Amino acid sequence: MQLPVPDPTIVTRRREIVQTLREIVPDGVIAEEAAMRVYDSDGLSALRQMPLVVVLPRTTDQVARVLSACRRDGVNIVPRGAGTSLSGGSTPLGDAVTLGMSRFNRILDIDLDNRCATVQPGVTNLAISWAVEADGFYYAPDPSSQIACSIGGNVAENAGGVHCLKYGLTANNLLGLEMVLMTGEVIRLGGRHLDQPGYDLMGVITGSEGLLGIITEVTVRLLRRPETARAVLMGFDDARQAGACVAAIIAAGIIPAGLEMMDGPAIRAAEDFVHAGYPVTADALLICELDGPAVEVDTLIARVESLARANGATTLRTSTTEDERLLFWAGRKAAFPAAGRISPDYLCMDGTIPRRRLPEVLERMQGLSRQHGLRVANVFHAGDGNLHPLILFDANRPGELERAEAFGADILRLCVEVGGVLTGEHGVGLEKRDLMPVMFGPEDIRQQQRIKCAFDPDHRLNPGKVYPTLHRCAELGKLHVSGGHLPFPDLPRF
Amino acid sequence: MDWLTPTDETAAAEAIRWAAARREPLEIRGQGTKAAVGTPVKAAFGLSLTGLRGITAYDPAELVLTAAAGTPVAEIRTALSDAGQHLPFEPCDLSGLLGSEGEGTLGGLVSAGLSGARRPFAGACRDHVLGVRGIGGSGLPFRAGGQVVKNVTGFDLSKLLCGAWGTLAVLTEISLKVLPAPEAQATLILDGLEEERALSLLRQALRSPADVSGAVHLSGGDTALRLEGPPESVRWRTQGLRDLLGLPCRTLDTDASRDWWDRWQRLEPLQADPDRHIWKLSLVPTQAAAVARLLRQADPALRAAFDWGGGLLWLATSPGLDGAHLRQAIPPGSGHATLIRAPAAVRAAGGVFPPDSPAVTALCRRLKDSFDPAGLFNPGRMA
Repeated sequence: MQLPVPDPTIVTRRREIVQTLREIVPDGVIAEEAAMRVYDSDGLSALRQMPLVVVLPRTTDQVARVLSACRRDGVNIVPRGAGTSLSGGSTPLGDAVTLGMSRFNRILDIDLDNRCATVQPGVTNLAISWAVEADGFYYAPDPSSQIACSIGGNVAENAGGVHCLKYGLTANNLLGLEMVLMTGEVIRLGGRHLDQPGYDLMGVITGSEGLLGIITEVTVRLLRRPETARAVLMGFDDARQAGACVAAIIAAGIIPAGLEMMDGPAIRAAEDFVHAGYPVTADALLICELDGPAVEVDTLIARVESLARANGATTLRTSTTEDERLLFWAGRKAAFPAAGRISPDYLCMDGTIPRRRLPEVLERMQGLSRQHGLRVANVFHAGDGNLHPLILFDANRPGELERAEAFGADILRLCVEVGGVLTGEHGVGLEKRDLMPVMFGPEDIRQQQRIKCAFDPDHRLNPGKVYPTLHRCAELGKLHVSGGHLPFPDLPRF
Repeated sequence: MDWLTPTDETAAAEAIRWAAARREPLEIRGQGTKAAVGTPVKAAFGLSLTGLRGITAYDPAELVLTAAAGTPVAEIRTALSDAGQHLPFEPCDLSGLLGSEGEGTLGGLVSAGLSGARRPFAGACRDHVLGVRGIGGSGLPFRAGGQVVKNVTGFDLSKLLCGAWGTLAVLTEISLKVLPAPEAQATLILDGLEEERALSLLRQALRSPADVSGAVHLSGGDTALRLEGPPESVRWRTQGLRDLLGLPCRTLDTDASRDWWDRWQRLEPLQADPDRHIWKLSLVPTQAAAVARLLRQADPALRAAFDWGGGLLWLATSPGLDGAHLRQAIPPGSGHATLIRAPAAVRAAGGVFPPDSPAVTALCRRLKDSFDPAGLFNPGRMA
């Protein structure tokens, strides 16, 4: 993918733009090339671009003034949390201000009686759980970057994690927001109570990938940490049996805290790396975690074990200690770095499919692997159908990155073809932007872009992300009416 | 009123294009069971979605059910129950309060965004709407979201349409996340607790590891805590919760427990006096008792029922207690109140839905314009 050529009329005004930002945030403007370099990409590091300038505001008022100034001066903005997006959500633009929220790093209020916490958006996901750990609480969504990713970024991307089948994505754990609109207005939505009145603005803002506004405060719900958690490790000689076992667990009425699958290449890469005791000859591995009171976990573990046997598991182990449970997970959690050990580079894809189509999708993915001449390893949030194929390639070999991208696009097309979606948790960003028409028709996309126009009519926020073509808002707003004749000549009336 | 009654999405879109060409406002309806909620709509024509009916896809192992918007909720409940599954958000049934027949349609349920007792623990209606098909004010069908349980592709329009009372777009098809119904349940009932004390106990239970899935206090009546799950787990947690509360209480086993929560789901404790106004208040749980106490000074006959451990307060008020006065009892930023039942003349005067800041109100108007630029759908209903 090519990044756009920066608009020279903006670049020539750089000095005055920097000056304007310095007046608003005197100690928070980064304009020197060496210092800006850390901002030249996000987690999708194949795409690199120096920002026009970086501004790090400290207060909501500063954010509002930055947005107002950019609106007045016709300058675009790329919002950025911790910069861990895997889809290029905060990839800089050469003619846009990167607005980093890292200085909003304070926990403002912990309210255990109402089971919620109010924090600034730059607080990391894991820091929220740490702050309430001693009281037996935690914040449920756990993206694998949780030690680094910020809660504001989690809201922007509607981040998930391995436990979201049972505990939901960010959207389902969010109670309130403060946000600055492109008009410079500050709005508050929700709070420590549930359900906002009127339209569900918080619902559409969550996962909007920095296109609608800048989040300046977040209230999340806290959950009581489960008393116990245990995991079952199951190996299968055939991925189809593993798929059938997943369906059987759900059909038996069990919603595990986590239900993960790895295919043969992923098992072997992970085992070589962390020695978790995975069955290296297996075609598929399942990790099923149950949590809750010990008596409940014991009951459900017994049922899962019996379903594993009935579906032909050739390896079956259940954790008896916390160390063992963590060891079962160690391989899965290290799957990405493990892929990094067996290949110089990899692309991590993120589609969701209806689970029943899994065997077919894995088989066709092997076909695509041969066609593109690149290896693929699969890790899979099996409980909710979220696939993470890791495409292995070497960027130093001419053409391999492009082949890997083409392979990835084919996988996502396959996901949509079988009734799934382009992205389960990583977001569209730049990475999947041009595939949006594979999943959505023209009117579907136009309706989404009309929402963008209601928030940001000049397309100042994160332009070029998520939607493949920009339409002028006036054009999108036209009311197209054809005909005008009465439908149903024999209209039933009552 | 003249009703347009399409039987598929194409005909519904054609009906909307006809209305758009004439700038003819439409009242959008399923079975009309919740038509008495909101500011009364002034429209000469109605668009009924009851002709779009039927479950189009349901594979229990996928945890997804897709149905046409006009499908009766009862039909969906039956299909789920046959597969041992349920609607996790436990939508409350307003028909008893509103004097309507049946629970209405899926489209109506989602448009009203109804959730029930399990909402704080399992999520709201909007958390379970995975995707929709709908038609905007220009008569063009669109889809949003997907039919899988995990999806972040594009803006989540489904959530915007949930709870929009048919003012943004006409829903034609909805995909819901569904879950296995718990095998067993039990409810602890404590009698005759004073309000403040009862709410404090509910919060204590919610902070405990008991994994409560229902926490209700009916003023002057039952205080109820529900536990759900495998039978072994329910038994264990019930004992733990009894020990924690340390008060005499009755335990309802699975069947009796289901009956209790079914009655609550129909809001039976609020149905006694049909002349009272019914209000629904979403509150910071620790402030709920104070809000009720304050309002009782103005309306001593007030009947109160707390759900969500205090996060939801249902009130049956004397017609003399006006909405502005009621809303003043809620500390700023601590919640909001919606009028669920009142005579049409009262609702026509406005104030059914809570007011919001000028910036949010203006943003909502722009969002309305983005879906329905000519203002055809349910004009004024959320005013």
